[in-house]
Amino acid sequence: MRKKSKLNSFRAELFQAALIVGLSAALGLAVNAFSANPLRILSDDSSAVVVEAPGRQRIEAPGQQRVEIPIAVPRRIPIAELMQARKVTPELVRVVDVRSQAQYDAGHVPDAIHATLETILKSRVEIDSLLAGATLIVAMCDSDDCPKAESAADALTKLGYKNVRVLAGGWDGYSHSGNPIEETRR
Amino acid sequence: MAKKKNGSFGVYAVIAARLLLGGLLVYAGYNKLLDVPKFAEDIAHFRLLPAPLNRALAVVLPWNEFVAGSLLILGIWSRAAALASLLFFTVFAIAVTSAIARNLNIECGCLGNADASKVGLATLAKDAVGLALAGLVYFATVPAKASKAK
Repeated sequence: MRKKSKLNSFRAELFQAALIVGLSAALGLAVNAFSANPLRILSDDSSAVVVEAPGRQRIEAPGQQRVEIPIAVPRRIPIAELMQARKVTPELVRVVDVRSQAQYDAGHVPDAIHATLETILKSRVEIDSLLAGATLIVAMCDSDDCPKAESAADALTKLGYKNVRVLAGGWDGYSHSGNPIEETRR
Repeated sequence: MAKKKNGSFGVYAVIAARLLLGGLLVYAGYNKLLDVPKFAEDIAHFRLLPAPLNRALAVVLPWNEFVAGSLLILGIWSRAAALASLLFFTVFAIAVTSAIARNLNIECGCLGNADASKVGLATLAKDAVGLALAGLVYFATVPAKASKAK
């Protein structure tokens, strides 16, 4: 009898523990969904994440009204594509490195700007001065697993910048690509 | 008389353990909430889950800790919150052990931005303390029904 009561009590506690975990998880998801800069949980691979490109594609169907739809381009930009763009129009390309200051100082893409996500969100004037005239902005962090570059790209897009991309492979990929690396000496 | 003294000491010890565990969980959850993308990155470094799950866990886990910790501090559903904490610390211990076994040189992210220590035996020891506290609170707290019956 006592054993049965103990089992019932344990079941009740297990249910309560599940409620604690479940409800707090729901609270977390809700807070994230309604936050100003939510973490995009389901956006993952380059194929899944697309952004509106600066240009628009026109589609004409016979007998129908002309419609314009945005061209969807992958948000992730391969390292080779970034290097090619920097070679052709270096003054129009800006790389925004959102890793920590220490990581940036230890090694970064030459001429990359260091700006944390917080700076992007709070210092509009500073960001505008750093990115003035850029037609291609590439955010980057540690690796493809690092969501900060995605968040930075989202924030920059919200600020009105066009053609904001994320460097595929991040610093892990770049540092192993054989391209030049710049260090900050303090 | 001596028996009564021991009993009250035990009660105070359990209350202290409950408050300590609650405070630890609230502190850890709060610090993780200050920089959720960084925490998602920390989880990703363990290389145990696919990216969307890492991000989902980074959104959910700090709130799990914060709510369970708050309940422990307030003394509401203490045994259930301690049971949930046991689950958290067990999962952390498995992840840390797996990282140590694979020689991963990564940040633990255990206390969010407040802790930049690397994963190692010290992390496992901290986890063991958390597990012990959660176990103590769970097993030494009198169930609500039994407490009412008394």
